[in-house]
Amino acid sequence: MRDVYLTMGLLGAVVMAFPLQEAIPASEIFCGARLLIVPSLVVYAGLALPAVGMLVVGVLGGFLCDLAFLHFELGRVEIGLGWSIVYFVVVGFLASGFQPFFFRGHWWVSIPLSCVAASLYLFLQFLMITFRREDIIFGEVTFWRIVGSGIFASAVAPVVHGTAWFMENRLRRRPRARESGLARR
Amino acid sequence: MRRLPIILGGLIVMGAVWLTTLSSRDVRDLQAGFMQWLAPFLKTGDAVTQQIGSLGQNLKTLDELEEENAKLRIQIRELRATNQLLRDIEAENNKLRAALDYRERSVFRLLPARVISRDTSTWWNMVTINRGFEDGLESDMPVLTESGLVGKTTTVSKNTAKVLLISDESCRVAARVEGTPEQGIVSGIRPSERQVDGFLQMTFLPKSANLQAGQKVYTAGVTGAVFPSGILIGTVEAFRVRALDGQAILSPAVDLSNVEDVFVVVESK
Repeated sequence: MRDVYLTMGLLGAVVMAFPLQEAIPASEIFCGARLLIVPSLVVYAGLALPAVGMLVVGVLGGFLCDLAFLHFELGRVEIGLGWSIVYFVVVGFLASGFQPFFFRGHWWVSIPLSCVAASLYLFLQFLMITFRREDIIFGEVTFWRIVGSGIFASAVAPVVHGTAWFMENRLRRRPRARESGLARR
Repeated sequence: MRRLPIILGGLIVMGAVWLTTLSSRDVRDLQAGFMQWLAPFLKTGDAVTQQIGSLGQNLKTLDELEEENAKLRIQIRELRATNQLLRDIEAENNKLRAALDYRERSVFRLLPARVISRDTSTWWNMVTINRGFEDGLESDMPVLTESGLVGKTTTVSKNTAKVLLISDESCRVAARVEGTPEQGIVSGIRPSERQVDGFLQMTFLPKSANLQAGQKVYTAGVTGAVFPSGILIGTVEAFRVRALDGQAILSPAVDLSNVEDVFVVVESK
């Protein structure tokens, strides 16, 4: 039951991540880097959920990311719909490889993984744009936009873990109280 | 049981591949649906931001006065923007009036809109405005302010629309330089260095073009193009000769990072 609740919670978080991302402006310090929440959520799903739950979160996250970042150039889609789904599913599978480590109490592993997942996502987007536009322009701004978003994603990871942990504790307590009440009767 | 994730993974990959085969129109419709879902959140966020911003003013002035003032401000901006659009047409009209019989010239209908969100994507410069196809918007409609050109609409949902800013590399505008016969293509510069971030470039200029800093650049209004002629795009900052053409660096006429109120050229009647 815990997995179902966590999956539902993460799906809700994925959906609400987009209005939140829209509300938070780009960082001027990191040359316009933006907050990406979905990579942190997918990484957490990979660490804390069985494969099916992770896949559900990855698919929804990828699909919504694609829709949010779709760009049309001369009437054609610049980066095809669907690639983010594959990316997040792969990220989720890779993160699930760290599950034994995570369940031994090393929750912090979600921090570097979130950083890498967000930065790699943007780097792949950058590569796809580069191949499409046929010239490589990689400078300071590009670097900081990729790395800056990774840093922001790593800051989101403890919040995701903390919230999940808090919710899990609340859910665990409730049935126990009910059970004890039943036992008394 | 261990096979289930692999089978699901395979199905997901196949589904993702199928998604890549969707037509641009289907993809645009999907994105419009997503934007429509997002619209209430964006509008609420924008309303809250506006309320916080005008809190101080509300304490000093009457509500009616503020409302009237806001309406008048929009009217002034609309008139200025219309003026900007008509300036070039008027000049052309004066030139041709002697030779041609009078014929009805097009007048633009401008729809005021408000930027409710700056796009979250890292690589594309876009904003979302609070008008959609319910207000008569379609994709590829010019967006401007009284100061100059802002961009064009791309995906349009029921109540919101995405606007591709001219500072984006993929937004290309046919342009001419004031006081010269030079014409070229204006587009954004892909973000690479801090120094060029926010500037525009004008390419395909002749190497011999003698452009000076401070010269104004206007839309050229090529037949069948999205943008009508005579809209101010920006000012020349520098000119350099490249291997195959000349390139001018422009500063945009509109502060695109802070633009809030815009007009969409809905139709020419």
